[in-house]
Amino acid sequence: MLKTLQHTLFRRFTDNYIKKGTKMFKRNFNRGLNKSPVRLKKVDMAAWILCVPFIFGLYFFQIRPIIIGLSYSFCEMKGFSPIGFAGLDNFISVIRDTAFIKTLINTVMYTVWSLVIGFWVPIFVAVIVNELVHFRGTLKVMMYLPCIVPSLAASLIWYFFYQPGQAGVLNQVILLFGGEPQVWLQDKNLVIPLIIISMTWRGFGSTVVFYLAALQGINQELYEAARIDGAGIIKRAKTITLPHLAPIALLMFVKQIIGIFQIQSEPMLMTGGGPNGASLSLNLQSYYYMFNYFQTERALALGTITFAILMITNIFYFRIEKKLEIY
Amino acid sequence: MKAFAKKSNGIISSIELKNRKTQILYWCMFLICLVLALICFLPVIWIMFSSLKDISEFYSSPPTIIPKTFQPEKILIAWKQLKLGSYLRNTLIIAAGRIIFCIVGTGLAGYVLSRLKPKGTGGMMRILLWSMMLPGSVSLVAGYLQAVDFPYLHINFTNNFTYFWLGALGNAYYTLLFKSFFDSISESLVEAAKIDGCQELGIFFKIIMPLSIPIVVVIGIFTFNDSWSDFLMPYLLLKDESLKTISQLIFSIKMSGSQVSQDIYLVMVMMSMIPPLIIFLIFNKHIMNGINIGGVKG
Repeated sequence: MLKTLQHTLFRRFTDNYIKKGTKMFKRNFNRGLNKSPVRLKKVDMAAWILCVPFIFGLYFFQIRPIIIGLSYSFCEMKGFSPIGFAGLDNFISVIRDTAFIKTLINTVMYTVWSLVIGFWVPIFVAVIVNELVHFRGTLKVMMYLPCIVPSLAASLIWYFFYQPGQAGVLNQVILLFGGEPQVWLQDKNLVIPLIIISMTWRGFGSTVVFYLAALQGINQELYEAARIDGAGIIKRAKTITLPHLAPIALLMFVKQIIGIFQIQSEPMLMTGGGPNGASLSLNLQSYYYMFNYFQTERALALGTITFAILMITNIFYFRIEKKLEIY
Repeated sequence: MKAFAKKSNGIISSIELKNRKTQILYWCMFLICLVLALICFLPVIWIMFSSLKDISEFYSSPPTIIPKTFQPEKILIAWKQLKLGSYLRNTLIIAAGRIIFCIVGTGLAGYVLSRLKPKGTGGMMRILLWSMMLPGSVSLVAGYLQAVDFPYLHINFTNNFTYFWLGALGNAYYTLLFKSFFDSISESLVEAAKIDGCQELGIFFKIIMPLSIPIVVVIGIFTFNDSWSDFLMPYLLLKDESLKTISQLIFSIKMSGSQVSQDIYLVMVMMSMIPPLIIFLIFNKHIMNGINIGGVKG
């Protein structure tokens, strides 16, 4: 009895000793590494030199255009060069434009529709695909396929689908089931959701795969434990799956707002902003100012307004994200 | 039902799938997925087959949804009529250059941020995260301005591929992908190499490079797709007929409405889809895994 007690005490003591010893050794070893003359400033410089191509690209192709664009929007422009300070004149002239309010509302509508159609679908589909055991890989590849189609070709495919009258593919399908043919893109109430559908078709596969990667990171034991405690399938999805996806869903949410708010090429290809300006977006209007009417300063002012709206969204995002990380 | 027993992940467990009700639920979910996958898949196939319809069938009213005729020789006709070869070649040259520039620029930066960690790494990471979220609503116009008259050097980049290549150097997202991949390479491998007397450069070329082939492939493919879809900048900058890209050609024909018959135009749209599709079919495993690499860290 005494002997075993002694024995355990001795073992505990030695274990503790060894643990403490290794800890101290590690700490000293790391400190030694950090203070060793290998980490000179020269090494830092060499590392940053390797980064030069990247920093060049980031500055000149991502950051500088934004800075230049923002600052030129306060200038009076002659062709492509600023000739004087204009203050807020450009903004006032852009906002006074009769089409401005309508364009802004259109852009907001694009965003709203895209969130209604395109935000929850990938989450839902990813959760379902994650449950499948049959043909899972094949289905994933099929869903990802439209992402490979160049955006231009995707817009044109849907342009052919949406053609009014007998020529349109969708109208053919409707006629087959005995319905009335629609005018699709020429309907000013339908045009925005239709363009959003075509964009969702192209983009949702990659988002699904993204969410799937996140779903793979959920610890399987959580589900097991919840099941044994009597939680049903829906309850498990609500209490385990969705909270786990929340941070990524938030990021996707903001990215989608940023992306769709700057929608430009899709309406340009499919409708040209019509019918009667019903699908004109802020960025498309900015493009038209620049390359159709050659009013650089107005194009930049409109771009700056979009920029400001989206930066406010961004600030909200970073605030909410910080709160989420605490949990 | 053997497949059910093997199921190891997801909300529904394999034990529950022995239940009849759960099985019905499972097949309903399968059906939803199948329908969605077909919606994704069929338009692509449809455009391929219907562009190769016989011309009389193409213009018949009402048009046939399931094509009756199949004429692959229309590809040759379109190829000759529109001289697609030169456009495809230009697009490929731009894409290839962009891939090389992108991998060199972002790969090196990712390596530095992940392994070397010089002073200021934290600040750089913050800049990267912010620049990923920055809206580029003014950058098309401002980018065009600087392409016509590049700052400090005063080079005019019209009719020149170099501008597109240089633009691929600084992609924040791909740098983060590279960084998180390099982070996942085990430190003990590098330690072992160091003990065996490998220098810093040797470590990069002999250990890091061979291990990071998957991520290089993935980012190469992403860059290829980006560059293949891009049509606005080429449309603005490449004015010379012999330098135009295929997307630009499709776009300018759509905008100007020039005299190309609808069916030949569709063949051209189809041709612009084929190279990315071939690459996707070859590398689709890599692409799916690549998103996993990036997905873990967001």
